[in-house]
Amino acid sequence: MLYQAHKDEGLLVVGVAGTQIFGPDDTATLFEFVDQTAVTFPIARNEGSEDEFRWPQGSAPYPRTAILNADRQVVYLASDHDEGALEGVMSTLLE
Amino acid sequence: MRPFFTTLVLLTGCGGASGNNSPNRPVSGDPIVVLDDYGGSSFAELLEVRTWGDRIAFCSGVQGLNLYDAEDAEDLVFLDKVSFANSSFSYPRCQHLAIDEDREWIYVSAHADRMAPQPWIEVFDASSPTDLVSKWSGTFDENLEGMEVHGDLLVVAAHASGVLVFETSSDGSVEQIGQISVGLDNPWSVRSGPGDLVYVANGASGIAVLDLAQPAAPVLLTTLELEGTAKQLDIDGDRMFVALGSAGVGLVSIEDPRAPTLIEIEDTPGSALAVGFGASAEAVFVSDWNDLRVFDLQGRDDLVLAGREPLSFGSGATTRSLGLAARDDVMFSSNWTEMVSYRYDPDVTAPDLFVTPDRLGLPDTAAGEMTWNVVSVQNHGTRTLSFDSVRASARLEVSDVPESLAPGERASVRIEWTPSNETAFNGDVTFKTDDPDQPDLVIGVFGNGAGITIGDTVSGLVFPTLDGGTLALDEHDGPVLLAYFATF
Repeated sequence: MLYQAHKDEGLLVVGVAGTQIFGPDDTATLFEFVDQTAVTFPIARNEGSEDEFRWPQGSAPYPRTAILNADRQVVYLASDHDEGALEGVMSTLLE
Repeated sequence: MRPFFTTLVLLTGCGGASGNNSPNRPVSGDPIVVLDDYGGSSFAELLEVRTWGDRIAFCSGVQGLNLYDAEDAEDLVFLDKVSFANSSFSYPRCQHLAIDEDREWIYVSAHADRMAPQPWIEVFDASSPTDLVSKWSGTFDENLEGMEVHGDLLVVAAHASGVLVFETSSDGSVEQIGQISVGLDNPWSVRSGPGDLVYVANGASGIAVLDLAQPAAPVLLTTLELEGTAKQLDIDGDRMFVALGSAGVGLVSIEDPRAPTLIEIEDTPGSALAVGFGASAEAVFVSDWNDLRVFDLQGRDDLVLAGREPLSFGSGATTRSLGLAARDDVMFSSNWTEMVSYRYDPDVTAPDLFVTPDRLGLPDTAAGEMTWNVVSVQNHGTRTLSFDSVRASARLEVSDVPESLAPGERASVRIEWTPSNETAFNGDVTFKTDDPDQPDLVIGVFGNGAGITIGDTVSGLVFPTLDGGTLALDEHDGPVLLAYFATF
């Protein structure tokens, strides 16, 4: 919903398949996931960036969320999915 | 000083307090209390839960199908647990349930995932509740989601395949006799309506109404577009309640069962995945990912936030709710690692502190320099919230804490950090209030240490895409949100 609300304002959302629990997902599994969730943003494989971030401690490895501004500065990191917080960040970035 | 990026949260639609502070509701306390929990394995990955009569059944990602006696919601009693013919041996997983109350059968299903690549349905006889007996199992090609027993039919939501209609039989087997996909978007679950009608939680396209008078040829009567993603729904008479993911919870009129109309949507801060109507309490219970929410159904046309239950998980961490069922004034929630029962008392009002984010990041800062960030504090309760004091770890200073917040009111609190060195910092801030659930609400604060953090610049990220190509973030002009996820 965040993507649908703000993609025309320049937001790009990338879903990155995590590798922290059972290793990397195969392509078939990821395509099943896309079919089930009908996400409209791109889904990508994990290329290693996940391990570079300083994630705050969470109750589970996923989901994890990072927001980069247009200058690619990290402005948000969370070991969770907080829709309200994300919307707040977007409202500031896209002003 | 490096003033930083605010994490001010724009919470909307958290319900007003109209009616909740009336003289008819004078009792203070905690409106939502924990009754019992299932006390099972610490890693259970609980999913859908259903209640019928005195029993609850729930699906687990690693513990199979569980059946409990819930006649006394304060004392959940284990009855039986089973794994499945077509699931992973190590991780017997089901995702969805449907109950045939007449036959006392439980239909169980799973969609395709890395644990079990073939979707399946299995049927269990629960007439002897301490001895669940499998009657039939079968695999399918379609991606199966939520199910509902509708007379002699089993109706199954199946994403891109639409809705499948199966004929059930006395030996437990099911045979597909009908299917409809044209006009449907992304069915996630189904619920029986009056007569031959079935309602479909249709993903980003809201609600769909099907007529199964001819089960072999289901007819799409109408659709109702709604915000968000319709994942699950519950019905009480002429009212339907819809879990809409990040859009919150929807209240829909089905006074004309064939033509539903939207009454209102109440936003929630999390992601509403499941919803249940507590009839005796006239309340709508919502599984909102990071917490549980209760909305009073006032006048049957207005949802008003009446309470929130945080989901604690040891050491102050929070777990998540992925499924919920309601019975009278009790909700049964699948809290990831445990099944928990709660009772809601509509005559009790209370303040309720909600802080976001609950883990605040600060940019790398040199020793002796100061940086800051903000958290949002809001009262999600039904009485005025009073702040008693705030306690913070050394090197943190907290300011702009309000004396009180009226129901629905919010404020921004500033947190400053002046490190004494440049090693990793993990501190906390404790808000002491008269919130009966969390009189001492702790948020984590972190800064410095190894790894890319807030304030750092990242360049050159290139991701391999599913179609064999690549996606280079530097080729995009605007902001980017990276959502790391797991599919299991």
